[in-house]
Amino acid sequence: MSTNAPRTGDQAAAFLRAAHTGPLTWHRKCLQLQREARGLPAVYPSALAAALATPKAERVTRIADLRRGMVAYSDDPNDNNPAGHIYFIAGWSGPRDSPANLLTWSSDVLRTGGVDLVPVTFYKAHWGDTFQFGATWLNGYNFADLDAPPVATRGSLGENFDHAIEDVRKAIRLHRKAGHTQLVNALVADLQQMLATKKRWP
Amino acid sequence: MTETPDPQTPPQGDAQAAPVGEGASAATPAEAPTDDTTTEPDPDDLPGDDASLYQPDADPAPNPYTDGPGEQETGL
Repeated sequence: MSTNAPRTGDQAAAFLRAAHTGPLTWHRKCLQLQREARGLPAVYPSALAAALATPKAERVTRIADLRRGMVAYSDDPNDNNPAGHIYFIAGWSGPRDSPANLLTWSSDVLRTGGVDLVPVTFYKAHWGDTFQFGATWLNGYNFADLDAPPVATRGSLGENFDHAIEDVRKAIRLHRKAGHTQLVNALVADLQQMLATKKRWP
Repeated sequence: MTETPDPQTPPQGDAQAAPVGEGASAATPAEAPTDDTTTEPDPDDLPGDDASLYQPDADPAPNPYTDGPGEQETGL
Protein backbone atom coordinates (compact mmCIF):
# COMPACT_ATOMS: atom_id res chain seq x y z
CA MET A 1 0.00 0.00 0.00
CA SER A 2 1.30 3.42 -0.89
CA THR A 3 2.46 5.61 1.97
CA ASN A 4 0.41 8.49 0.63
CA ALA A 5 -2.93 6.73 0.25
CA PRO A 6 -5.01 8.12 3.13
CA ARG A 7 -6.29 5.37 5.39
CA THR A 8 -9.23 4.91 7.73
CA GLY A 9 -8.79 4.42 11.46
CA ASP A 10 -9.08 0.65 11.14
CA GLN A 11 -6.57 0.61 8.29
CA ALA A 12 -4.19 2.70 10.39
CA ALA A 13 -4.58 0.22 13.25
CA ALA A 14 -3.81 -2.63 10.85
CA PHE A 15 -0.66 -0.79 9.73
CA LEU A 16 0.44 -0.46 13.36
CA ARG A 17 -0.29 -4.13 14.10
CA ALA A 18 1.90 -5.05 11.13
CA ALA A 19 4.62 -2.69 12.38
CA HIS A 20 4.41 -4.40 15.78
CA THR A 21 5.57 -7.66 14.24
CA GLY A 22 7.95 -5.96 11.79
CA PRO A 23 11.56 -4.80 12.06
CA LEU A 24 12.65 -2.35 14.77
CA THR A 25 13.01 0.60 12.42
CA TRP A 26 11.00 3.30 14.20
CA HIS A 27 13.56 4.68 16.64
CA ARG A 28 12.80 8.40 17.16
CA LYS A 29 10.35 8.31 14.26
CA CYS A 30 7.04 8.61 16.09
CA LEU A 31 5.62 11.24 13.75
CA GLN A 32 6.68 9.33 10.66
CA LEU A 33 5.07 6.17 12.07
CA GLN A 34 1.76 7.89 12.78
CA ARG A 35 1.51 9.77 9.50
CA GLU A 36 2.43 6.65 7.51
CA ALA A 37 -0.19 4.69 9.45
CA ARG A 38 -2.74 7.23 8.22
CA GLY A 39 -1.16 7.39 4.76
CA LEU A 40 -0.24 11.07 5.03
CA PRO A 41 2.67 12.94 3.46
CA ALA A 42 5.58 14.35 5.49
CA VAL A 43 4.92 17.98 6.43
CA TYR A 44 6.08 18.95 9.93
CA PRO A 45 9.59 17.86 10.94
CA SER A 46 8.70 16.96 14.53
CA ALA A 47 5.76 15.88 16.66
CA LEU A 48 6.19 19.12 18.60
CA ALA A 49 5.64 21.22 15.47
CA ALA A 50 2.69 19.04 14.40
CA ALA A 51 1.14 19.40 17.84
CA LEU A 52 1.52 23.17 18.00
CA ALA A 53 0.04 23.50 14.50
CA THR A 54 -3.06 21.46 15.36
CA PRO A 55 -6.12 23.74 15.20
CA LYS A 56 -7.69 24.31 18.61
CA ALA A 57 -11.06 23.11 17.28
CA GLU A 58 -9.54 19.71 16.46
CA ARG A 59 -8.06 19.12 19.93
CA VAL A 60 -9.58 16.81 22.53
CA THR A 61 -8.25 17.63 25.97
CA ARG A 62 -10.13 15.14 28.19
CA ILE A 63 -8.69 11.64 28.15
CA ALA A 64 -12.17 10.20 28.73
CA ASP A 65 -13.25 11.72 25.40
CA LEU A 66 -10.49 10.11 23.35
CA ARG A 67 -11.67 7.71 20.64
CA ARG A 68 -10.06 4.82 18.82
CA GLY A 69 -8.40 6.16 15.68
CA MET A 70 -7.34 9.56 17.04
CA VAL A 71 -3.73 10.58 17.45
CA ALA A 72 -2.53 12.12 20.72
CA TYR A 73 0.50 13.90 22.15
CA SER A 74 2.39 13.73 25.43
CA ASP A 75 5.24 16.07 26.23
CA ASP A 76 7.16 17.93 28.86
CA PRO A 77 8.02 21.29 27.30
CA ASN A 78 10.86 21.72 29.77
CA ASP A 79 12.70 18.43 29.24
CA ASN A 80 15.57 17.80 26.87
CA ASN A 81 13.42 16.18 24.18
CA PRO A 82 12.87 18.93 21.63
CA ALA A 83 10.62 16.82 19.41
CA GLY A 84 7.57 15.86 21.50
CA HIS A 85 5.84 12.50 21.10
CA ILE A 86 2.79 11.38 19.12
CA TYR A 87 0.94 8.08 19.34
CA PHE A 88 -2.26 6.36 18.16
CA ILE A 89 -5.36 5.84 20.30
CA ALA A 90 -5.94 2.08 20.01
CA GLY A 91 -9.03 1.94 22.21
CA TRP A 92 -10.47 1.37 25.65
CA SER A 93 -9.86 -1.91 27.45
CA GLY A 94 -12.10 -1.00 30.40
CA PRO A 95 -14.17 1.83 31.91
CA ARG A 96 -13.32 5.36 30.83
CA ASP A 97 -12.96 6.62 34.38
CA SER A 98 -9.44 5.19 34.49
CA PRO A 99 -6.87 6.49 31.95
CA ALA A 100 -4.92 3.26 32.50
CA ASN A 101 -7.65 1.55 30.46
CA LEU A 102 -6.84 3.57 27.36
CA LEU A 103 -4.25 1.79 25.21
CA THR A 104 -2.08 3.43 22.58
CA TRP A 105 0.09 2.21 19.71
CA SER A 106 3.47 3.87 20.07
CA SER A 107 7.10 3.59 18.98
CA ASP A 108 10.12 3.19 21.29
CA VAL A 109 8.06 2.29 24.38
CA LEU A 110 8.80 -1.39 25.05
CA ARG A 111 11.46 -2.00 22.38
CA THR A 112 13.82 0.61 20.93
CA GLY A 113 12.58 1.12 17.37
CA GLY A 114 9.63 -1.20 17.93
CA VAL A 115 5.89 -0.52 17.89
CA ASP A 116 3.94 -1.68 20.94
CA LEU A 117 0.76 -1.15 22.94
CA VAL A 118 1.01 0.79 26.19
CA PRO A 119 -1.53 2.68 28.32
CA VAL A 120 -1.77 6.42 27.85
CA THR A 121 -0.39 6.69 31.40
CA PHE A 122 2.94 5.20 30.23
CA TYR A 123 4.38 8.50 28.99
CA LYS A 124 4.06 10.29 32.32
CA ALA A 125 5.08 7.27 34.37
CA HIS A 126 8.23 6.43 32.39
CA TRP A 127 9.19 9.53 30.44
CA GLY A 128 7.72 12.31 32.60
CA ASP A 129 5.65 13.51 29.64
CA THR A 130 2.19 14.84 30.47
CA PHE A 131 -0.78 14.16 28.17
CA GLN A 132 -1.35 17.23 26.00
CA PHE A 133 -4.35 16.44 23.79
CA GLY A 134 -5.81 14.05 21.26
CA ALA A 135 -6.76 15.11 17.75
CA THR A 136 -8.56 14.19 14.58
CA TRP A 137 -6.13 16.27 12.55
CA LEU A 138 -2.54 15.69 11.46
CA ASN A 139 -0.26 17.33 8.88
CA GLY A 140 -3.10 19.42 7.44
CA TYR A 141 -5.49 16.46 7.06
CA ASN A 142 -8.73 16.03 8.98
CA PHE A 143 -10.10 12.65 10.05
CA ALA A 144 -12.99 13.71 12.27
CA ASP A 145 -14.80 10.81 10.61
CA LEU A 146 -12.56 8.16 12.11
CA ASP A 147 -13.95 5.49 9.79
CA ALA A 148 -13.08 7.42 6.65
CA PRO A 149 -9.74 8.33 5.06
CA PRO A 150 -8.31 11.72 6.10
CA VAL A 151 -9.32 14.73 4.02
CA ALA A 152 -6.86 17.42 2.91
CA THR A 153 -7.87 20.78 4.37
CA ARG A 154 -5.24 23.05 2.88
CA GLY A 155 -5.28 22.51 -0.85
CA SER A 156 -2.36 20.98 -2.71
CA LEU A 157 0.70 19.46 -1.08
CA GLY A 158 2.69 22.62 -1.86
CA GLU A 159 0.00 24.90 -0.42
CA ASN A 160 -0.21 22.71 2.66
CA PHE A 161 3.55 22.89 3.12
CA ASP A 162 3.59 26.68 2.79
CA HIS A 163 0.80 26.86 5.37
CA ALA A 164 2.81 24.60 7.67
CA ILE A 165 5.85 26.87 7.40
CA GLU A 166 3.69 29.79 8.46
CA ASP A 167 2.32 27.69 11.35
CA VAL A 168 5.84 27.13 12.64
CA ARG A 169 6.80 30.79 12.22
CA LYS A 170 3.69 31.80 14.17
CA ALA A 171 4.48 29.28 16.94
CA ILE A 172 8.03 30.65 17.16
CA ARG A 173 6.72 34.20 17.60
CA LEU A 174 4.23 33.14 20.28
CA HIS A 175 6.68 31.09 22.30
CA ARG A 176 9.46 33.66 21.97
CA LYS A 177 7.09 36.22 23.44
CA ALA A 178 6.28 33.77 26.26
CA GLY A 179 9.95 33.15 26.97
CA HIS A 180 9.90 29.41 26.13
CA THR A 181 13.49 29.26 24.98
CA GLN A 182 13.75 25.48 24.51
CA LEU A 183 10.56 25.34 22.48
CA VAL A 184 11.72 28.24 20.32
CA ASN A 185 15.07 26.59 19.68
CA ALA A 186 13.37 23.34 18.67
CA LEU A 187 10.94 25.14 16.39
CA VAL A 188 13.68 27.21 14.77
CA ALA A 189 15.47 23.96 13.91
CA ASP A 190 12.22 22.62 12.46
CA LEU A 191 11.70 25.79 10.43
CA GLN A 192 15.22 25.62 9.01
CA GLN A 193 14.64 22.04 7.95
CA MET A 194 11.34 22.93 6.30
CA LEU A 195 12.87 25.84 4.40
CA ALA A 196 15.71 23.62 3.23
CA THR A 197 13.18 21.05 2.05
CA LYS A 198 11.25 23.70 0.14
CA LYS A 199 14.45 24.90 -1.52
CA ARG A 200 15.02 21.40 -2.92
CA TRP A 201 11.70 21.43 -4.74
CA PRO A 202 11.93 21.95 -8.49
CA MET B 1 -26.03 0.02 23.36
CA THR B 2 -29.50 -1.51 23.24
CA GLU B 3 -32.02 -1.46 20.46
CA THR B 4 -35.56 -0.10 20.89
CA PRO B 5 -37.82 -2.84 22.29
CA ASP B 6 -40.52 -4.32 20.11
CA PRO B 7 -43.65 -2.18 20.71
CA GLN B 8 -45.73 -5.38 20.74
CA THR B 9 -43.92 -6.61 23.83
CA PRO B 10 -45.80 -5.62 27.00
CA PRO B 11 -43.78 -3.67 29.53
CA GLN B 12 -42.26 -6.04 32.02
CA GLY B 13 -43.71 -4.15 34.99
CA ASP B 14 -47.28 -4.67 33.72
CA ALA B 15 -46.75 -8.38 33.16
CA GLN B 16 -45.42 -8.85 36.66
CA ALA B 17 -48.42 -7.03 38.09
CA ALA B 18 -50.99 -9.29 36.35
CA PRO B 19 -52.54 -11.79 38.78
CA VAL B 20 -51.83 -15.40 37.87
CA GLY B 21 -55.44 -16.39 38.31
CA GLU B 22 -56.71 -13.93 35.72
CA GLY B 23 -55.26 -15.60 32.66
CA ALA B 24 -51.68 -14.43 32.75
CA SER B 25 -49.27 -17.31 32.76
CA ALA B 26 -46.97 -17.40 35.73
CA ALA B 27 -44.14 -17.99 33.29
CA THR B 28 -44.88 -14.91 31.19
CA PRO B 29 -42.52 -12.43 32.89
CA ALA B 30 -39.59 -14.82 32.73
CA GLU B 31 -40.27 -15.58 29.10
CA ALA B 32 -40.12 -12.00 27.87
CA PRO B 33 -38.39 -12.09 24.51
CA THR B 34 -34.72 -11.33 24.68
CA ASP B 35 -33.71 -11.69 21.04
CA ASP B 36 -34.68 -8.13 20.15
CA THR B 37 -32.21 -6.68 22.63
CA THR B 38 -28.62 -6.90 21.42
CA THR B 39 -25.38 -5.44 22.70
CA GLU B 40 -23.34 -3.71 20.03
CA PRO B 41 -19.60 -3.38 20.59
CA ASP B 42 -18.40 0.14 21.35
CA PRO B 43 -16.33 1.26 18.34
CA ASP B 44 -13.91 2.90 20.76
CA ASP B 45 -13.18 -0.35 22.60
CA LEU B 46 -9.85 -2.02 21.99
CA PRO B 47 -10.64 -4.84 19.54
CA GLY B 48 -9.57 -8.38 20.25
CA ASP B 49 -6.89 -8.54 17.57
CA ASP B 50 -5.14 -5.56 19.17
CA ALA B 51 -5.80 -6.69 22.76
CA SER B 52 -4.10 -10.02 22.09
CA LEU B 53 -0.86 -8.12 21.42
CA TYR B 54 -0.89 -6.15 24.68
CA GLN B 55 1.87 -7.12 27.13
CA PRO B 56 0.94 -5.42 30.42
CA ASP B 57 3.93 -6.79 32.30
CA ALA B 58 6.61 -5.94 29.73
CA ASP B 59 9.49 -3.75 30.86
CA PRO B 60 9.78 -0.35 29.19
CA ALA B 61 12.57 0.37 26.72
CA PRO B 62 15.13 3.02 27.62
CA ASN B 63 13.72 6.49 27.14
CA PRO B 64 14.59 7.32 23.53
CA TYR B 65 14.67 11.04 24.20
CA THR B 66 16.92 11.39 27.20
CA ASP B 67 20.13 11.68 25.18
CA GLY B 68 21.01 13.35 21.95
CA PRO B 69 18.77 15.17 19.52
CA GLY B 70 15.10 14.37 19.17
CA GLU B 71 13.53 12.78 16.17
CA GLN B 72 13.34 14.54 12.90
CA GLU B 73 11.32 13.63 9.86
CA THR B 74 13.37 12.78 6.82
CA GLY B 75 11.59 15.41 4.75
CA LEU B 76 9.29 15.21 1.78
